[in-house]
Amino acid sequence: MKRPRLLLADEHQMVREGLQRILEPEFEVVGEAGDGRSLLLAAQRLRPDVALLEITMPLLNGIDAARQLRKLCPHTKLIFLTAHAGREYAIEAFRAGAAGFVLKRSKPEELLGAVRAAFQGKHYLSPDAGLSLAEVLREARHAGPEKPPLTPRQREVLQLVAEGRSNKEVATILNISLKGVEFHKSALARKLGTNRISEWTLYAIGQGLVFRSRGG
Amino acid sequence: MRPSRVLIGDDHTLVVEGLRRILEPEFEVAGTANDGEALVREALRLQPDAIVINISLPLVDGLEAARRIKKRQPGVKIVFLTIHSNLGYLREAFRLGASGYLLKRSSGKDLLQALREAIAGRTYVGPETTKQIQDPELRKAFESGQVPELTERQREVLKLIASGQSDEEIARQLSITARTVRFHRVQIARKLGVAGPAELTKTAVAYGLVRPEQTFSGMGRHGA
Repeated sequence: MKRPRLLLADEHQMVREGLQRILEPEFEVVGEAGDGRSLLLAAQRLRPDVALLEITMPLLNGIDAARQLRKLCPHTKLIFLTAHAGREYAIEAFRAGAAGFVLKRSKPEELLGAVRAAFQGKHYLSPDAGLSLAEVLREARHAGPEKPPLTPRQREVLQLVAEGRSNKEVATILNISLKGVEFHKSALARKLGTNRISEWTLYAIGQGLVFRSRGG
Repeated sequence: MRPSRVLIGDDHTLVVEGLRRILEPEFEVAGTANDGEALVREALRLQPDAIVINISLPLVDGLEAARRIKKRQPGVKIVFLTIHSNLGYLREAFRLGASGYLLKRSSGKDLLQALREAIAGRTYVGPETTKQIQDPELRKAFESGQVPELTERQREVLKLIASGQSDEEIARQLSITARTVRFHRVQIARKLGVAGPAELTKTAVAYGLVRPEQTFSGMGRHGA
């Protein structure tokens, strides 16, 4: 039988190279991506069976990328492979359409099992995630305790600003006008209750959109 | 000649196992550890030639673990492999006697090179780390491990910047002029190799000067 085709998305090349060696005996790693936007492009181009993705990635985080992939590549099963161990992350991941959620502190066998499960159309959740699979799927079915406070586009702009990018860079990356960037930033200032970039950054860190120090 | 023996310290088992497979063609992976305390124990027990350490380890962080290891085993070569490109960590690493420092965004080939250099008694700083330093003098200083420290005052200013205070507010709080605050800001950015409120905030969080609220499902202190 043909080996399942995998796409790996993680900011850190060293991590991707290591994962590739763990996965290659059983799966075919057809591509990799170092940020959420490359992930979208690669997934559409390669149409993998399964994509492994981290939550915090430059340009576009894994959760927001997953939401888009659910529409763009509905046949690609998504497995989050992440350092973020909190139960809220697991719930958000499944809410965004994940088939699996594996912590990076897991053993290789667990990751391989999760990929096999996803390929067979099943769900998988790391036992260390802090809640059961039944619980997480139940939570994920609801939209959440309150409506998401930021729109997807606002989250995109917020992540890029917290990454230290200028308005011009944000406009180029998102392929919108400078005025569009300014418009979204005003909305962000209103919703976050501040126009201070330092406070936006703290919020973005808390949301897992960016890491604490540059480069991840 | 026997392959050099390497110990790996990282709390992400999948990362450790990946590194093992990257290193094994050339090195002998003598052991692994998932936290700083276990790493110090294993270093003593296994007496490796070199140790690859992640900075963010539980129980005891990688820098502290390296300090303790170096005290009893000064000859062991330490290579930090980390996500933190913040130059303050780089400074700390070389101050405690590390041989190498590279980011996880480097390639496996870079890690192999770092270990070769370290075991040969030389130092190695990953290309990704020094790339961000524009000032050539500062870059040279970092590459040789001579890194300028933040003063106590600069740490104070950095903390207030990250808390969202304006230059005027900081000036008032510290009883200095706004112009002095701006001067400190420039010095801080120069020493850390980063600039802009976003990067400075992230640095302050990395240094433990300020904590982000865990606001995953809400707005935290600001309200919607």
